[in-house]
Amino acid sequence: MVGKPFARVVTFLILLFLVLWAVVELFPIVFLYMTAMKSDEEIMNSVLLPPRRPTLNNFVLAWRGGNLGVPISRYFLNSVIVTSGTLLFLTLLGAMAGYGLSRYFFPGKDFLQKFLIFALAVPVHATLIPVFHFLGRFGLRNNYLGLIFVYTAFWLPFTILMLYSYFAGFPKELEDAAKIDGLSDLGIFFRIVAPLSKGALSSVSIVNFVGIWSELLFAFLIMNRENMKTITVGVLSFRGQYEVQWGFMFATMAIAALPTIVFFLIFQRQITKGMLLGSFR
Amino acid sequence: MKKVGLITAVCLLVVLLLSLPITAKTTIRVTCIPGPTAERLQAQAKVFMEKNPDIDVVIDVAGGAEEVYKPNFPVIAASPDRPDMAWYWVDGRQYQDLVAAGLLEPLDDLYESEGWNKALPQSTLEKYTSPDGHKYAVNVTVVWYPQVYYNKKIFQEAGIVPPQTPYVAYASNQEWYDVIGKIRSAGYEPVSYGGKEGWIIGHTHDALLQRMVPQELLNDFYNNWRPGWEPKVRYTDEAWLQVDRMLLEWKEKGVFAEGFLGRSYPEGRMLFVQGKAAMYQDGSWGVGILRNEAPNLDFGWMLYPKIKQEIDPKFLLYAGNGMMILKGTKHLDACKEFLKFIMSKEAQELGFRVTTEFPSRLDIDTNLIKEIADPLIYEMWLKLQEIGSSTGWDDPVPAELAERSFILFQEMLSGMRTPESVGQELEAIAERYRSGKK
Amino acid sequence: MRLGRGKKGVGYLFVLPAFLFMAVFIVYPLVESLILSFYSWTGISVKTFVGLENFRNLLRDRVFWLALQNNLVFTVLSTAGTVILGFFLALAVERRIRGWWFYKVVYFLPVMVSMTVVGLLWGRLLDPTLGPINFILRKLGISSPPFWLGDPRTSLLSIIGVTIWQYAGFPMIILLAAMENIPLEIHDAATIDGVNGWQRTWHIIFPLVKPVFLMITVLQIIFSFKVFDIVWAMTQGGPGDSSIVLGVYLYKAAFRYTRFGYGAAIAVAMFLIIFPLSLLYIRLTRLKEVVEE
Repeated sequence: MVGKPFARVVTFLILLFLVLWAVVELFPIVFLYMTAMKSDEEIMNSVLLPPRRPTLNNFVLAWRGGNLGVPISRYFLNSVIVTSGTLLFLTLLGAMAGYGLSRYFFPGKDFLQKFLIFALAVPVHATLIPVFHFLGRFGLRNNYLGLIFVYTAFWLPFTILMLYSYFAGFPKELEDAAKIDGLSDLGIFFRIVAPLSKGALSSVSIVNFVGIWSELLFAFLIMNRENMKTITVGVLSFRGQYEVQWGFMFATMAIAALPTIVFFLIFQRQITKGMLLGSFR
Repeated sequence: MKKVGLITAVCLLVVLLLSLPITAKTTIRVTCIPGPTAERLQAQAKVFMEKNPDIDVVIDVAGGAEEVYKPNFPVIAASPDRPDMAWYWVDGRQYQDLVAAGLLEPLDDLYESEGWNKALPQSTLEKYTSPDGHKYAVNVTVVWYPQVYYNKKIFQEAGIVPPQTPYVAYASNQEWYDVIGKIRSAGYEPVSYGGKEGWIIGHTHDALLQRMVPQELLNDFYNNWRPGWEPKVRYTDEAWLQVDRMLLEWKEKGVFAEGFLGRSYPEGRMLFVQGKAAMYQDGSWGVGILRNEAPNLDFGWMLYPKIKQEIDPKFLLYAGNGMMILKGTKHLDACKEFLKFIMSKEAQELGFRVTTEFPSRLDIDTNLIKEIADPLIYEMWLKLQEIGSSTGWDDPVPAELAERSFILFQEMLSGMRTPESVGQELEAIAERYRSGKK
Repeated sequence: MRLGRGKKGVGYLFVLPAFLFMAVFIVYPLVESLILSFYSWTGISVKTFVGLENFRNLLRDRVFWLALQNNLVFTVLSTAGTVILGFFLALAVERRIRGWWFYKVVYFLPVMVSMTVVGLLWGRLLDPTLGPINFILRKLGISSPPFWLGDPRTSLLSIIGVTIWQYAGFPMIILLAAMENIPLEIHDAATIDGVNGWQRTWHIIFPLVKPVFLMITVLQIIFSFKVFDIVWAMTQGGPGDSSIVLGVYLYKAAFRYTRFGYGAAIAVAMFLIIFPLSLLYIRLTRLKEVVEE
């Protein structure tokens, strides 16, 4: 093996690389939060320095709303409603479908499996125009249910797949025992299997969370009324009116980014595991 | 399992309830763009609601004007979640589609009963009369553009005299270039605006068009996209190309601020507000915005210079700010009441106090105008009467033609396209419309 | 797999709700898109049948080819950037140098921020006059730093750069897991054989993670063709059409120029490009086998 000093140089270089890239990755995010806590003059005059007098003013202003606009707290609420509604439907429908596919044989099962693969491969953009008009026809635009339904459908293929493979590995002895005890099939699922699968179900929800929360295109088109926008769309729409007020803009972005960052820090392990499972975004 | 089921049911119920519209008393929903328009409508709605306590007026402000509201509104107007009333641009573009699709309530009875036929200028009445002879919208305010607002202090510092001609513009292109040169030598940017939003470049182009093309040919450019029209002049002809070339020449001579193509509308203005740019182009509505953003800035106004000796510069008047009632509204009478109010002298004066957009009625007392209006607006208005106005090209032409032109101008100004190819592309689109296809 | 149990009907009960959802919101719109692409429609009033006209126009459409070209550039550069960088980051983190866990978190963090916020944030950072990036460049002596998003020559590249910044962490995580899966015995055997770091990387690690490499690359390619959020948040396809991509063009054609039929044709084109790639990906990751068990 080559001499020790060489190994140390290599280690040093690797460390340098890691540190440099960490700085590059962190700088924008740190800048975001620092700037959001500066007053507008500080922003103009001292671009890079940390705030001398950190203030939460911008955050308060953003949360309560600008002059004419809807407060960001409303956008936040909308995102919470849409995302939790979607996750609810996904968990329910996805688990049922995944379980059903793993346990039962019935005519058409083959077709459904192929269908699943098909749905997984479809780029959702291709459905944009008809979905927009379709929802309009049934008054589901600017309506929480409309967006929830669309999101549920889009995230179902992946969810079903994940849960399918999970349930395939679920021990059937418990179910057999329950069957002997006289429980119906539905009962077995809801009373025995589901409660025990909380881990997997929440894992899948966690993996889906970020994608749903940050979805732009469909939310942008379907929720165009001010009081219905999700936070991703809302942050984007602030660009037009408040662009020059950096403090305000940065505070809105900081608020918008916070949930997913916090979420990640808490659920790190599950997210990375989930990402590995499906490697699907 | 029962608990999970119960929680799920409750959640679904909550979501369902939140999705249902809440209706109590008569509520009319009015959509509009943000900014002065929304401010005005909200002020008028407030007064209206005080007078009519049984009617609730909700002003639904869109997230953006050009980006969001303009293209989205027609589609929304055609779907079940349409509003009751709306503010929208009445020009050759999407408005025509709205009328053709039968989505608007005719307002002829109001024009008669409220005297709008007498209070509005003839050109406006013509503009608002659709091919079938009916009127489906009414003009609430007028704006004119493009103005060039200039920083008086910078002009003094650079030794520049504001234009003294009767049309408040420099008498020749050469004089204009001299002014630009002086500004740059003094260390400032000349004209700043946000070129990222192509429409504002379109305004500059419209101004140049008026100054370089005689009115008869101009009329042809306004209309030669119509199906079956025999064009007198085409976009590939010298009449059009000379204007594109002039725009490019202006860029090359340094008329516009460095990097203006990458700035958004507010960003472009910021350079002027901060005193880094000597001039800012915007419409008459810009006065109100500037007063808000730069209360201590002493600025004046002028028009873009005369280019051809035989054509005098004019204001470009836009009377396309229209209010309309959508067909199928459940509260037609309430809507008509609100519309009557908006067009009343009282509301127009109120609106004028709140923003600087000019009332559309001709019969507002001149002294009142002098009293309420921002001095610059009053000055401009007087000049407008004196030297007259024309129409911007992007007003009567179809949306696609106008939108495409903005992108083409951007590309031309960034060196990616020749003026000739701009003309070619526009002609291709016009040809497509001419032949009846889309 | 166990033999079928219970009444066959129960199986349907479990799977039907989900599949119904997908049928209504995925398949039906997809078919509608295809049908719509043969029409011309402004979104209001009637649709006019135009047959293959939209597709013929599409093939002659300069902007369409420009968008496609931009997507290709985006694909090649961002995929190469994220995967290669991700690979090296994974290698470095795998070494377990002090604080490796911290680096792992930091590199993956931007992946978790929504693309819209990332795009808006970088839009500010790259502001030619007020942004910190040019501020730093000017301090370093560069008198007129590039206009980034305001210059048609650098707009697309800036977006690609930001994408790499955001997503290098994703391949890193995947490759890291694959590297960590390499049995210790192999490493030990290599050490005994006197293999140095360089050789270890290229002759042992790389070949063993190659399948993952391939999978991640295909995934990034699919993502690159679908891209919308970050382009929309940063430039909206501009200045002019310099950074336009298929997704943005689809949106603009349909919702700005109100040519819904034409937009549907673009959607069909996107489908034809992306769908086969997705199927390839599914085959590669053997997801298919999971289902066909």
